[in-house]
Amino acid sequence: MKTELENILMECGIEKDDLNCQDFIKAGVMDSMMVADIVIAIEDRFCIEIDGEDIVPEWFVNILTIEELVNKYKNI
Amino acid sequence: MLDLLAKVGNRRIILWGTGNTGNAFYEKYRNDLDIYACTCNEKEFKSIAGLKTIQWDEIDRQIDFIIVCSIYYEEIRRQLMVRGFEVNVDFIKFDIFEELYEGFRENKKLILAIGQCEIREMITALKRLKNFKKYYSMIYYNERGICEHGDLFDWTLLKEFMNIIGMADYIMLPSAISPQAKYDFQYIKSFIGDKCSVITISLFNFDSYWPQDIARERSVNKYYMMQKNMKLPAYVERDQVIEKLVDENYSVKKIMELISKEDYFKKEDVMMNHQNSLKRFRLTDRLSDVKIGDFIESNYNLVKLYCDRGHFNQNLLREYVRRILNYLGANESLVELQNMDFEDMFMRINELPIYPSTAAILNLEWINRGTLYRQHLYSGIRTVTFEEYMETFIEYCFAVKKTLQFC
Repeated sequence: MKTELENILMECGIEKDDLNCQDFIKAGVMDSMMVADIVIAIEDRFCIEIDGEDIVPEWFVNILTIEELVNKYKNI
Repeated sequence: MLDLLAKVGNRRIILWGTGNTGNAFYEKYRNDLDIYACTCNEKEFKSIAGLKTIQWDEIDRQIDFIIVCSIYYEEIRRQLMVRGFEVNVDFIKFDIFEELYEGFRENKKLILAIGQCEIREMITALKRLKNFKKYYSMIYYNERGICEHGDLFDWTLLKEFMNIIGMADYIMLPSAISPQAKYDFQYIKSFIGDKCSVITISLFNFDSYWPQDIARERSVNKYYMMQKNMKLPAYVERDQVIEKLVDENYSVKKIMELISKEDYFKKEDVMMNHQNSLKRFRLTDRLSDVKIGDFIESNYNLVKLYCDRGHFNQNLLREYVRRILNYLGANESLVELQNMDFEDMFMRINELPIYPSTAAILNLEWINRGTLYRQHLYSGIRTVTFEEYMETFIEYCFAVKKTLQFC
């Protein structure tokens, strides 16, 4: 899954060098369009629908938290 | 809404500002308020209607309450706050005073709106509806000024906002997706009263009409980067198609020939851009009380909805306001809304022209060869065709390219 997520993040505008960043938000690489496109892409790719209450910064800190978010919905 | 006059207490009311605004305020409220004196920053000044005059540094916040009626309000706010006066507690801006005072007197609900130009336009439009104004007071705050992530952040403005947030019956703001905005809005919401309701509005950039604008964030596309990370503001949103052709040294005539073709863009690129734009709206709709995606999806090709990626026009504004009225159950204002013209609110917005290729692929029914766009130039505003707009714009891009060689 990590490779798929890396591809998604790069398609949504995150540079390859920033993929392993510990905190996308503090690094200033995550903006509203990116969050929107990441949510749309992971919903399409993994056939899930993310609740509005989970579209919060805490889930988009880095690739690991995004992976946790996807797993949360895949396991429902 | 809390009683504003309870904040004033037994203090003397002083008007700061003796120009037209101060005079008009005094004229309006002289019989309702016990206005004690007037002041301003000048040592010698003309009074308002014979009112007592005092020097501003004689004002004592323990016994005086100031209503600022000056165009220099922001400077005065800072001046008073560094001297220990608290905004919206010891002094207040005249128009905010009016909204709160008349709101309490007429038992209105208070809407505090936070956002950028879109939310400001919605509040401006709502304020024009006489019937709606009978029941609601409305005050708008610029998100860029009161949020820490904002580029215009001003702690004095944030304090002003925080000192009245407890009075609000409604907080209206865009549903935030960006992490910075989310944090800031969460912080703001933590101060609202128990009886206050939050209304979230679905807002996002609309990219469909402008596939040539490939910048991911609008703010990026408003600047050219120079040495030492300095920014040169762009006159309008940058156009990466034109910039590429200029870099490749095409002539103005050749560029015009290319971009005027109906098959300039690939259909799949335009459609993907359009679908992505609609998907983003469907997402923000899920996070919002007032949704708009369905209207955009059904109407984008029937009527023009946007001036540029980040500014809707009056067609979409009207629909947003209609939906806010529905949400609040204020349907008696719908007829008044339908008959109102908001075009004047958009005169300051430069309209980005739409490529013929985009218009053909998206089947934009409201575009033809004679369609005019509002173009802002240094010399003034003019309405021009696609060709006239783009010729000027291409010349501008050549000039920028030359200028950047020296930056």
